Parts: sequence; C-alpha cells; structure tokens
Amino acid sequence: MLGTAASADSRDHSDGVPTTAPIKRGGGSSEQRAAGDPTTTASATGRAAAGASGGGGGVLTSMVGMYQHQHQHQLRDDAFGTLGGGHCGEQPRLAAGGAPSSSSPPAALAPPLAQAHGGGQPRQLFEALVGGGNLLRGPGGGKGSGAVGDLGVLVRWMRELAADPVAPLPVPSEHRARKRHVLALRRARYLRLEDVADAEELPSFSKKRKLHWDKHKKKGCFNMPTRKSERLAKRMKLMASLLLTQRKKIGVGEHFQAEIPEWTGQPSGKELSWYRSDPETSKMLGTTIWPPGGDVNKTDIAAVGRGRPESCSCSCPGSFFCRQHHINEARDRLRSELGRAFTIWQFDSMGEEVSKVWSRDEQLKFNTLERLIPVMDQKTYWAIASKFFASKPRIDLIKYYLNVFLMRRVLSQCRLGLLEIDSDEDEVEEEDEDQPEGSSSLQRTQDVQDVKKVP
Amino acid sequence: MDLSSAGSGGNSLPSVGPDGQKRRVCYFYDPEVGNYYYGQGHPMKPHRIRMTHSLLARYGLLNQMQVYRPNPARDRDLCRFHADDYINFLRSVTPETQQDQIRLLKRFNVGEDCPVFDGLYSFCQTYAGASVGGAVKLNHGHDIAINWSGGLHHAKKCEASGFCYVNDIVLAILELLKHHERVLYVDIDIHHGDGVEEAFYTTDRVMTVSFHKFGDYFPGTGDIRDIGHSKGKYYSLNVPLDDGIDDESYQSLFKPIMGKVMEVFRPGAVVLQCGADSLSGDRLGCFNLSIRGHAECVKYMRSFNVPLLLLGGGGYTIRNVARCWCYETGVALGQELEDKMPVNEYYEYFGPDYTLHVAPSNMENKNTRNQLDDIRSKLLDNLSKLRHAPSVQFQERPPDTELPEPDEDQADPDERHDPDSDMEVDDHKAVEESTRRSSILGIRVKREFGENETKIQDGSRVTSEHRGLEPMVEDIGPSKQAPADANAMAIDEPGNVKNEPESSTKLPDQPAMYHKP
Repeated sequence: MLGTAASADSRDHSDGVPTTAPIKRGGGSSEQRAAGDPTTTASATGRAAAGASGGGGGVLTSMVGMYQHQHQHQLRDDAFGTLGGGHCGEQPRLAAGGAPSSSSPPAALAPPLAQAHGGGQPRQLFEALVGGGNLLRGPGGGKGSGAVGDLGVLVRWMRELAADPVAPLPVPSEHRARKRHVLALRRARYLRLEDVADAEELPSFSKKRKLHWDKHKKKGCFNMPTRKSERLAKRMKLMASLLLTQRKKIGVGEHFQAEIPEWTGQPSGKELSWYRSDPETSKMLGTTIWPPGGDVNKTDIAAVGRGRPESCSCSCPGSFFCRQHHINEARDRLRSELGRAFTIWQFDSMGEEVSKVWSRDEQLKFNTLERLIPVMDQKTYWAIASKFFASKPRIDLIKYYLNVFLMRRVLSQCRLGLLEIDSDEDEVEEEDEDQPEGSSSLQRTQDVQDVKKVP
Repeated sequence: MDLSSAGSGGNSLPSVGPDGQKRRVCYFYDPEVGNYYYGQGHPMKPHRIRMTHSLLARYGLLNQMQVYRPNPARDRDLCRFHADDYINFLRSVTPETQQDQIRLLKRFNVGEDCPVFDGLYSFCQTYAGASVGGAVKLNHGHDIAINWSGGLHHAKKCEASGFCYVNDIVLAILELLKHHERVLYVDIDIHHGDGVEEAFYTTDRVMTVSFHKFGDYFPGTGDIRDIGHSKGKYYSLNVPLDDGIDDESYQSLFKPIMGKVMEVFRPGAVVLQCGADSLSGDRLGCFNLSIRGHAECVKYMRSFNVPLLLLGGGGYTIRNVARCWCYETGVALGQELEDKMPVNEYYEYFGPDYTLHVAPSNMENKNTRNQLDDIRSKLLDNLSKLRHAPSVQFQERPPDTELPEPDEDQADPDERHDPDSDMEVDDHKAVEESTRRSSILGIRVKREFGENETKIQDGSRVTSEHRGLEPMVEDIGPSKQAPADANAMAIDEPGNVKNEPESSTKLPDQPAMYHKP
C-alpha cells in the first residue's frame, strides 16, 4: 500500500517534471515513465527516467500541467499496483518500523491516496490555469506540433524500456540518438515559459535575466572563490555575496561597538530584588506555556528520548499510510498530553495537516504553478501565486509551501532514490540554457541508475 | 517545575557517564516563527525552528523544560545596541514600499542577502525578545536557556548582514552584563561571528571566541591575528579553519582552547551560538562535523556548570538543523535520544532513513595536523597574555590540560538548581557509577574528548576535593552523593530559595570563587 501511496505522491509532487524543460532536474522521471507506459514497473525508475527524462508525459498529453493527472489517472486504473510493488522494493529503508514492507499493491487503496494527494482530473488543472489567469497564453504555444514525427516508435521504445528496465541497452549510438530524440520531443511538447508568460508578468524570465546570470558567471571567474565545490557554488548564485571574500576589518568606534556600562561590583541584594521585580525586565520573560499552570510536570519519564517503535501492526509497515496513521495517532496522543499548549504551539497546523484546508484542485494548481515558474525571483513568484490564489492570504500559501509542498517533494525524492535530497532547495538549479534541455537531469538520473546497477 | 529530575530515569548521554547531571532548562519558542519567510530560494528558513519544535515534542523533551512564548523586544530594547535610525528603518520598511527607500536599503545593507519580507520587524522582535528573555532567565538563576530562533551573529550596530538584521546575541549579552562582570561568547557557526566580535571588540568584559571557516568565505573577517583592541586586546579569539574539518580535529582545538578560556577568563555566564551550518552536508557550509561532534561543544560548555544561553544561528540544510538542535536540547537536559526518530509532523523531511543522526561525508579534511597544532599553540599563547580577569588569579597550567571546573557551588550561592528537583532519580545508577568514577578519576587527564560533559551538579559541588579544574565533573565520583542529593544541595547552597526558581537569589559571579585553590 505504502508503495502506492508513495508513488502516487511522487507523481504528484516530484519536482522533476520538466515543464520548462531545462530547469528541473532529477525527479522528472517518474512522470514520464508512467506516462510512457501505464504498465510501467516502479523499478524502472532509474532507467526509464534516464531514457525518458521528460519526454513521455509531454508526448502523451502535449500540454503543460496535464502529465501529472494523466498519470495519476492511469496509475489509479491499473499501473498503480505494479508501481506500488516496485516501490515497495525500496521500502525497507523507509519503513517506519524497520519491517520489510510488503509489496502487495492493493489497487483498492489507490483512490483514497490519490484523493489525499489531490490527484485531480487532468483537464481541471489545465483549465484552472488557463482560466485562472493570463499566465498561459495558449496551450502548446504553437510549439511542438512539428516534431512529433515517429512518435509511435518512441513511445513504444519507452514502453519497452519501462517494462524491462534492466534489459541490455541498445548500442550506445542508437541509444543516444533515441534519447536525443526524446528530449527533442519533450522540448517541442512542453511549453516554454516564454510561451506561456506575458513579459509583463514575468519580467524576471527574460533575456535580461539571462544576462544577469551571465554576468554572475563571469564575475565568478576571477572573483568567486571555490567553496565546497564548483557545483554548489553554481547553485548558490543567488547568494553570491556569501561566497565572496571581503577582507573586511572589524570596525572600531562608536558606530561599531556596543555601549557597555562600567562594572560597579556585584549587585546588592536590593538591586537584585529590584531586578527581579522590575516589570520592564520581567516582561522579557514572555508567557509561560509549559508546564501549564506552572506545575511540576510528571509525565511519563520513561518515554523521554524514545524513538519510534521497532515494528507496528499495520498491514503494510513502513508505507505512506502506515506512517500517516502513526503520525495521526501520535498527534492525538500529543494533543491529550499537551492540552491547551497543543493549540498554542499550532501543532494542528504543522505538516500534512495544513493540506486539509486546501482542496485538491488548489493543491494541483499550486504544484503546477511551482513548476511553471520555478526559478523566478521571490517577488515575482509570490506575486503570481497570490494572483492565482486570490482568496488565500499569502501566509497561507507560504504555510502550504513549507509544510506540505516541500515535504512531499522530499518524499518523492526519497522514492526516486535520488542521491541528493534537497529538503530546502526551493530554488531550482538552473541548467545551462545552451545545453540540450534536460540533459543534466538526464545525467543525474543516469547516475542514479548506475548506482542502482551496482549489486 | 523540576526539570532537573526530568528524564533522569532514562538514558543518559553516552559520553557523559551514566548520570549526566540534570539542569534546569528553559526554552523560548514562538509558534509564529516558522511562518516568517525570507523568500523563494533564500536559504535561511525560520521554518526549521518549527521542525525542531515538533521533534522536541515527539521526543518528549518539551515536558522536561519550562517553555515560554517570548515577548517581542521593543524598539528601545533593540536600541540598546542598534542605532535608532536603523531600527526605525527596519520597523517601517515593507516589501511594498522598499523601492522608495533605495538609499536607505543600501545604507543598511538590506535587500539582497537580507531581504525585506512580510513581518520582518516582528520577526526581529520575536527572536531578539527570546534571546533577551533567556538572558533574564539566567540572571534569575536558571541553568540553561535556549532560543533556537536566535543567534543571528552577523548583524551590526548600523546594518544588516548575512541574513541577520538585529543582533540578539549582543542584546542578550548586554542583559547578562547587568549581573555578571564577565560574559563569554562562543560561536561554532561555520561563519565568523563578526557582529558580536565587533560589538565587544574593545571591552574586557566580554570575551568572544569564534570557530569558523576562514579564507575566501563570508564574512571575510576572523583572522587569527584579530585579537581585540584597546582594553579588549586579547579578548577576541578567532580560530580559522579550513574545509572538511571533522569531529576529532574540531575538538582537538575546541576543548583545549575553551578549557583555557574558562580557566583564565572565568565568565559568569556563557553564550553559545550553535549555528548548524558547520555540520556535514550543509547547503552553504563546507565542514564535516557530525551532529554528535557539534553537540560535543554544547556538552563541553555545559560541563562547566556556568549559566548557559544556547542560541541557534546558521544552518541551511534544514532537516539536519532540526536534528542537531533537537539533539542539543537533549544534551542540555542530559537526555540521550534514540536514533530512530519518532514519527512527527515533519517526518518525511527526514527520509530516507528517518534517523536522528546522519553520517558525515568522506570529504577531505584540509586541516592538517600541523596547521591545527599551530593554531592551537598561537591561541593558547594569546590566552596566556590575557590579563586575567580583574581580581582573578591567573593560574598557570599546561596549555592543553582540561578545563578548569568552575566551582560554582561556592561561586554561586544562588540557587540555580531547583531544590525540588528530584535528583534521586539518578540514584539507582549512582552507586555503581561512583565506583567506576573514582577509578576514572586518576586517569581523567588523559581522556581528552568525549568524556567531559555534564557534571553532576550536586555531586560535583560536594566533592570539591578534586582539582576543580576539570570540566568533567561527572567523572569524579560525585555521584556517591547522589542519594543525598537534596541534602547536598541544601548544604551546599544554604542561601537557596526553595520555592520559586525565579526568586532564587543569584549572586553575581564572584570570579575568584570559581577556582579552587
């Protein structure tokens, strides 16, 4: 079960979907794989990803925003089970209880999962986007109808690849050619940001921005020190100043130092009691939240520092549902332990709980939005997000983003077995625009695949 | 509440000896803090504080502490260090209006690394209020106060820097200086603690010690030759490090240096900035510390039993930040945590292994033995020039002996430890331990790392016959006293007020008394 849940989830949230092809890395694989072939097995992850990186979904749906629903749809219908099984193979490390997870793929469980994760109809989202704002000028943006050519061949190829990911690869030259082809298709089928955005709305996604990055790059040549690695440094363009050596000096003078009163000896008892009773000072103590009523708390001391139990009685230990079940269980326990403090500390709006006030469509819309405009500077990003979710205050968007979106992305990255997990990175690594789009995500998944091949 | 007793039945810190002494710990947390958001793609995420909080709850640690919701620091609190016009600016600027104030943005270095975001000013008030609140708590006699939202060490008097707007550390130290003649600041963030160093660069009442990556790295300051100025000469200590430093190398500097510092400076209170960007795998960092290695610094500083303020700081791989600060909260409480993480609200962030600890990488440690030795001897040499704190006898010791154990019992008659605390919980272990410990006593000096943490408060106080300079009091047979803890305390601290912790009559530190003859 867990497998199912997980895969659906990753489908829904993996960040790799190459909406604007060059931008996303890694994760994209799952969608395409699923798209390419509904009967895909999950173990195809690495390879299918590598092969299809970005292509399949676009081919089948030919529209932004549709791939995920499409897949979800398919998955729910049939492929889910197989997928689930495959993913379960990777489960043991994820298993909460350490028990090997079962690989039974209860197809029946898929719908709730999909529901839980906001799997909606493909159309809906797309329409929501089109209707919801002028972000999208038109589907397809006029690109892509051309390059379809031997679409059928490619789809078949990907299907085979997905069905039997460990089969020997074709001769390298052919393989490469196919991959190139897939990429070209994907390029053609996906919208580019330029196609979907009004220049006015996305001022940051323009040539200007490109120049800006270039400038950075050049500057980096002489000026940027090597940090941990070039790769990281590249990723950190935004924070370039953190990388720069600024041999600064500590300043001396009234504009720099704190004023420190002379020490006049130990405070007397009187001074001390004055200090303690001084309302100005005690104000800084804040409000006591715990223990309630200032009581000495005698909770279950044995439970302090305790981790999760070794095993559980769930039918599929370690699965997504298993974890959700235990998280909910633990939350209830916490609620009763903490009482009022539970609410004060806002445990009811942490993690997945936050998604409960979001409808499925809203969640889909959010996911898509994030993929559409992943590298935008924050101002633009949130301005557009606010526009799309006019009814939601920005704080709600941010809460959702931090509590739900990012966490699900980590989850999907784990599922995909990515070597590096970004729990934080909300800005997406920028690929070199001159490179064939997606090549680096291709490389990355290829790496993952290679790793997996190692016995 | 008696934190001291809490958790005593459970595990103890492995490196500490079976019954790491319990301390009264208070913790400041604002439930809104996780919602402040620097902006898309910005590595600083206050959300990590909320993740930490969730972990603390699930490990049962919140129960063991007094937890406060901080009151926001007011303008005048902030202006105790910062320039008025800077604070006015922070209060008034908004994302919408910032474009009208380009000149001011530039002047105060607000904009790029330190963006203007919604709620910026109340964010500053919150984290600063929590740190100052922690300092007040310590002045009232608490042992340890924690504010993971604080530690923003780059902020300067008149400008923002490195994601920091208001320097809560400086404000907290100023508060501590009301009651303590000398305050020690220790910074284990990977970045140099320039804001704090600068604020106290010319005073001998605050000593700043920063361990940081140096060389082509933000903020660029922190050269080993920067030692302070005027009266503050030798009161700033900088430990420049290179990429890939591991636990062992780090501690080979941290312990001898901090031991010496504690010995010669003898602070009345310690502020420890626990920036978690020095951990292995940090998004902006390049060190290779494990969480245990990082937390070892907390254990070590805690072992001196001097009032301790623990603050957050950097840390940009947020799942590791939450792990680290949760673990360090456990250290503060003398509570070991199981590695298999309990389920929690942010469980999925901790995949795929869902464990508390993560293995450091195999990156190269660019700090050679020679370099480290060189740094250590230079710094110890600087320390020997330190005009020991006024009224304090400077004690000669071999450079890398262990630290002096501040002997608080005498120094600090105030009641830091809640008399009600049920130390007896530790008893069952105490007896067996005592034997072990006494045998350890003889070889104590050899154990450089890992041992020294928590001392047993009551025990140590009673057993003052040992050299008193060792931080690792717990090694010293104190636990024989354990069964009689309550009495011991009563005896030791005649002056203690038994009712309300807050009301304890904490005497300002009397440095001379930290040293045993």
